Amino acid sequence: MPKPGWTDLIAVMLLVVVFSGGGGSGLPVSEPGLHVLIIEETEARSELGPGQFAIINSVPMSRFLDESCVEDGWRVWDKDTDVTREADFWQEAMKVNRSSVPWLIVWNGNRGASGSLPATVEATKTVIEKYK
Amino acid sequence: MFESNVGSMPIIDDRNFTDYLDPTVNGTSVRRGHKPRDYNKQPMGSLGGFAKGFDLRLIPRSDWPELIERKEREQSRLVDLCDYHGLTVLNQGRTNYCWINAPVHCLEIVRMVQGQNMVRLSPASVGTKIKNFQNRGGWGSEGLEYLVDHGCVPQEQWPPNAIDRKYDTPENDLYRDRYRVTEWYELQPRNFDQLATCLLYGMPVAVGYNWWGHEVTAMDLVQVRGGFGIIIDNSWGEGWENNGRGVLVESRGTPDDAVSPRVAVAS
Repeated sequence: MPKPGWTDLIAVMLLVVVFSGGGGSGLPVSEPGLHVLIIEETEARSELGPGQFAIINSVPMSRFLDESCVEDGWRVWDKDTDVTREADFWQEAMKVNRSSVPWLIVWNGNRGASGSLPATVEATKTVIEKYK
Repeated sequence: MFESNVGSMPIIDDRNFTDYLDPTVNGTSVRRGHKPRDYNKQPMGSLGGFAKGFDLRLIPRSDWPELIERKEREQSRLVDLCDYHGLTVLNQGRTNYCWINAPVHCLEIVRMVQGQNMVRLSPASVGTKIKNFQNRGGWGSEGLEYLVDHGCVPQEQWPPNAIDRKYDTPENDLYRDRYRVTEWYELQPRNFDQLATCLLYGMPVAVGYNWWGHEVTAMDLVQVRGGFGIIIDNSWGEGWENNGRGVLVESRGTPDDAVSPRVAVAS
């Protein structure tokens, strides 16, 4: 893997700003514990950036989510997934306003944020770790 | 030239394929059960009008080696994810239900990628309903159609190879809606490029082979012996070859019938 350069660091800092946290997330969900929801369009996987596929579909990311989130605390859903049999908080998270896909929603109790899915696994981890 | 790491998986090609037609596994001869789909009687998209045609942008062959290498390096192959999550191959036992084991395994994999709880699903809960509780062969598209329209029952409620009406209960029917496919692709027959594109995008494919009379789950595209091939999860259990996995080179791995579930009900 190439080492991150200045542009990567700046991108991560921008993401942290975009995914603003602090008290009151503005999200309609407040389930305690770290939760992560990634929303994609499976028909548009050809449009994912080269680093984004590994966010949606890789062992390092799965391991990171398993270790970081509460038990059963992460999902990767197509935007049209039928979620009506899931817990209410997942259904509420799926209703969060989005301007595009893929999209990332992170929350831990009253703290959380949502925004476009970052471009790399490392940048995504940085955003999520902010809410651990 | 990059060569995929396929460990000790057998590479099945035009010279040795007859060795894999009817092997014994743990002292027992295996069953198959794939029947050639009659495309004249049932053309593409005709199965209840349910099947979505393949409309993904094809990935050019010139890009395949780099993408294969990248997925291996990033551990984003489906086999890597299944190993990490402990999702093993199915075992069709004495049934002729390979044609439904493959689509059901695809559904298990899609659920795994979605982050759903691991629930092992029963191929017999689908195959018996389609074949009126007869131990008969079929093809993957008819299996997928049932998974779309009705869904599947967990193995805890319906043992994976139980061709037995005592499990066909209203209580078990209540589970089906939770384990259902909602989006999928039907691939053109004998089209390796469509198969490779699905696999590179992380979508498992149930692939039927007339030469083998068998249906398996295509997991990942690989580069072996200077050409392309696919890693398969075979429904002959973990006792077959490398924990139930092998490699089909392109000439043997180009499917006669192929469907790719990609979204499952979240439950």
